[in-house]
Amino acid sequence: MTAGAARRASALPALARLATSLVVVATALGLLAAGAVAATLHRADVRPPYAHDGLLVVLVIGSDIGMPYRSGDPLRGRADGLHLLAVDTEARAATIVNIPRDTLAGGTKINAHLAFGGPERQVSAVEDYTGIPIDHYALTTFRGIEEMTRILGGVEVEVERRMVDRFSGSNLHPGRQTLDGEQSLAFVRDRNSHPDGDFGRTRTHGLFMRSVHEQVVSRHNDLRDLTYLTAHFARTTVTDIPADQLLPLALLATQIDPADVHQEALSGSFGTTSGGASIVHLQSGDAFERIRRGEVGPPR
Amino acid sequence: MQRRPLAPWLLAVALVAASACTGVPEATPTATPEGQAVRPAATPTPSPTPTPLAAEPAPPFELAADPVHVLDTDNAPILSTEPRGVDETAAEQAAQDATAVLEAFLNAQYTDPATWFSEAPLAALLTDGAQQALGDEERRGLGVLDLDVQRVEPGPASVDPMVTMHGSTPRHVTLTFHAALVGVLTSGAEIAITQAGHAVFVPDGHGWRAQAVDVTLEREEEP
Repeated sequence: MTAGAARRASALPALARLATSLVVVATALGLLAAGAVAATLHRADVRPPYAHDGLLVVLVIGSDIGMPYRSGDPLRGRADGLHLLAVDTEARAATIVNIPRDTLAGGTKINAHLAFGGPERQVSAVEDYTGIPIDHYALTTFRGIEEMTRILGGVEVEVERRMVDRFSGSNLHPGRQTLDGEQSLAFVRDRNSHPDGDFGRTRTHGLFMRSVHEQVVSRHNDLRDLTYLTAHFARTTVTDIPADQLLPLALLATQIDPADVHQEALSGSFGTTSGGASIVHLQSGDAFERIRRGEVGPPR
Repeated sequence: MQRRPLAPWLLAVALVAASACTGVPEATPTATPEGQAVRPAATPTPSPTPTPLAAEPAPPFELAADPVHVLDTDNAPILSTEPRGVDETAAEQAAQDATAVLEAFLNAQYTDPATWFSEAPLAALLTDGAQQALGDEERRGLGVLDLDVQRVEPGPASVDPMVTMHGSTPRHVTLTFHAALVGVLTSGAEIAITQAGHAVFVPDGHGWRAQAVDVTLEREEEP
């Protein structure tokens, strides 16, 4: 081999290394060029606070009159769902207390006061029974529950047990699942599938409310969705919450972490009146007292 | 085994390539009267009293509106009473009025330098409560422009209105919008600016103003 050939031969590995290096540099330049656009992003998410001093307490009422099951005026039905929703608007925490409909209050079942005098009379009866001042009520019906479930695209709940009940129409297996409108209504009306009867049924109401809240927070948090849901809430309830406060309340609800919503588990015993009507002797413990003191949310 | 050092020529190529991609302009040294070279800052120092260089406003924004979605809050279906019906004309008018407020904001905030850096556009857009909730990031998100922007030209812009009605009374107008702009920097470079998101308007005694907004302002530029 000549010296030149020898030099050429020894240069080949170096040339290969040069070519490889140029390819690497060119690739790096290309990658850098592709990502060379500098972008800055600012976000203005302005949601004014809900203006309210102290605790906000809403009585959520489910009337047993309304289509598709019973015709008539839902505002003069029986309050088969009664739930105190107490919200600390500053701490962004809440407590739900489910009151069984047959709770003895004022000499009669607590849910009868709706039939006697409408939502205002029902609010007064619960205030007298619990000692908790109530700011507003929100009443819905069977159709209201079906409609809200439909608007949400179904409600995802954790069904605790097998629920089969001919009266309510429930036929659900345990586990996490999305209920449509008809299933949601059966889910909240069923008391025969619960070993503790109406305590289980009202507990299910609270679970349903928390599931709806959780779903709204996680999936419907943008302003357009919230406005849409607020309009349908107004459409499916009768409430004394001022119309201009509905959206601020919805915005507040989305700022409450579902983990900071506490559901009180009340207990009691069943009895009958002298006339043979079934009643509940509620043992509320210190649940009402804590709310009167402004202590809401998960126990610390 | 001893590693061979990186060839100097390869290192030089890499350094040149890196400097070509950083986007930081090479500053040119200037001579001071004393003869010492001074390297100016790579980016301009913000002035405490910014003055737009362009005196003339750009052509105004025009929001192309989609058909109005009307939401009825009548709870007749659950009360089994006769539906009240919705005043569609009132809904359309409310959507137009709120859209006009948003359009005026976009023009005051971007295309008209006379109103840049003032509180007036935000006061016209937002309710008093919403204004009180503004922080620095929110102001930036609502179009407080960077100081190197000399002029802004409007691009395509669209709005999708949704009106919540109670009979003949409009309660909310929710506008979902997207506005594209082209910004011209003091350096002459052009940047793409996009303002987009949702704004919920209510009638508050000052006409329609936004009670809540969730918008982004994005700026894209090549180095």
